[in-house]
Amino acid sequence: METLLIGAQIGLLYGPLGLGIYLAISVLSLPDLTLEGSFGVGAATGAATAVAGFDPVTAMLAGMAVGACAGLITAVLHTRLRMNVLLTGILMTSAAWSVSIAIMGTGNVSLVRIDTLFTWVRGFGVSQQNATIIVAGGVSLLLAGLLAAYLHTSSGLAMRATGLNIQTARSFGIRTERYQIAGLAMANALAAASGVLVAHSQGFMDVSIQGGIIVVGLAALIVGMTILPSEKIIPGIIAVLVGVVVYRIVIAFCLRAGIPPANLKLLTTLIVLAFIAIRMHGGGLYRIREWRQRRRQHIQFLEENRVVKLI
Amino acid sequence: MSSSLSEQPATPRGALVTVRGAEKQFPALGGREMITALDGLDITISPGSFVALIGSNGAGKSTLLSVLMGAQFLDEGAIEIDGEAVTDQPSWQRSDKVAMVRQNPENNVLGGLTIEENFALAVMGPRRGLRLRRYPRAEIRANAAAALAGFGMGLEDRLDESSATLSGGQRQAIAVAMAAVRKPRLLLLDEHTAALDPKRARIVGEATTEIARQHGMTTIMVTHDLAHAMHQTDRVLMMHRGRVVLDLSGPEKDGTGVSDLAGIFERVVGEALPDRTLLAVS
Repeated sequence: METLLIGAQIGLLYGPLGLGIYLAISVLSLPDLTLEGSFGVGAATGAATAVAGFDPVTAMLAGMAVGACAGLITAVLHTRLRMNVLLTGILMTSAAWSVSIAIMGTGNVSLVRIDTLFTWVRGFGVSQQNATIIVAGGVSLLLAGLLAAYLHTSSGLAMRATGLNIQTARSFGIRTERYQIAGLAMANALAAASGVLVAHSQGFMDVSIQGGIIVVGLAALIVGMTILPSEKIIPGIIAVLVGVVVYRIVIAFCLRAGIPPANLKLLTTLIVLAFIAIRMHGGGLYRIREWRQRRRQHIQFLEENRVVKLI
Repeated sequence: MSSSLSEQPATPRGALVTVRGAEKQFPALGGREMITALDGLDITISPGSFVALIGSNGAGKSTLLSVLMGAQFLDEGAIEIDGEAVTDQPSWQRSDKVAMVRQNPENNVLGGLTIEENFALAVMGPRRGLRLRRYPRAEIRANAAAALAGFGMGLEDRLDESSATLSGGQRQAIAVAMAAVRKPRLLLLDEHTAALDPKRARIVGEATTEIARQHGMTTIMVTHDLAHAMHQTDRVLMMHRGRVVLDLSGPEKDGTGVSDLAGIFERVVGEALPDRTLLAVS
């Protein structure tokens, strides 16, 4: 039970990041790695504003605004300079490191004795673990609700169409480039919200927290889509939140089982690979009867053209 | 023959579509040579007419439809649709005037959305009605059901289903029905029944003609079916190497049989007809 709670506690902090990945990759079909940088600059802004004396909600909104700006820059580079989103994301994430230090004026900031949503909830006599679950869960659910509501409006429908087929969407009168720009800004604001949550909950902010964080979001998406495969919006959003919690629970169990924390990144990769294998092969992984069919599917996959030009 | 080999439009006044001096080239595979798709093309199409566009592969038919839709843009020349210069207008801006049904069913209906959601976008997008609120559901459903009923495929009862589960014929029927609900001034059909089996192709083809006639939509249909082109349309344009080489309408068209047309095609184009076209003639 304790392990499950630790999983939920840490997992929910990354809930908004999972939502951002879901919006960028599943809805818009744009593999935007800028989310990692936005997580960092969001956390840096959230920390700097809190230290400067702003209330936690303002700090959160400021962090999200800075994240949205990062997404906006990526989207404009993609639509104006016609740069590949993947490449743009790599460059932006690299730049975000320096921007985070510039925002904080230093590489790390302590948030001890500074008011955050977590200290506020603890003030009601709640344990630290429960306070984290309540705040992170509340923020994740609020943002998930807003995202689901938006994607069910006509404008949200147009954003989904943009991620499905640009030519068809445009022939329906949808100005696809605008939806890509707005969508990437929203996705990066979500990732930044996660950054603020993590920085505020751990009581300090170090510029290195953004390193490799995109993998957490990807793991959430893959684990979620394996557990709850659906093309619909609400099941998709629930899936990614369940995915991020399940992923952290698996990590918590592994750590409890005595796997050294230094192996965490290797562990994450193995978890993601395990879920991808389950998704690809389902329960039939070891069934001899389906071997021929799987072999055919594999050859079919090799026959298909998968060449993508990066530059 | 010489009179029918005219490139000049029959009715230049009050035209719905005017194309002047259209030039379009593509880099060939390999990149160095250029292929000419449209070569100084001039076309005028009068409102409410149903025009068939025929020609061999590579004649420039699909390119012409793409530049009318705004999915591709001319190197030289000008296009006017419904009295508005649209030469440099992106496709989303033309969507209130022009609708297109493409050959590949996957490009006409969005697979990840339900049938209802596809109709919602097709109706609200061209109206510039994509706002931060839900689309008028009752109105969209009523319009979609009415338009789909004409195809007799039972699709009007499946509005909540994901389009990903639909067959090619069903998708093309939905695409034509969406065009009907949008009521564009110009409907472009790019071999929209070519990917279907003969029975479905006939059902979708006939329903399309009826919808276009009923709403008085000006229609340009690319087809390889010469019989369909002769019998169901007001005017037949034959393209070859980016130009119109034959323009049949009125009594002249009525006096021409399908086999005459096939003969003219082979003489003008200087090559045998595609097998599919010959099958249609016999």
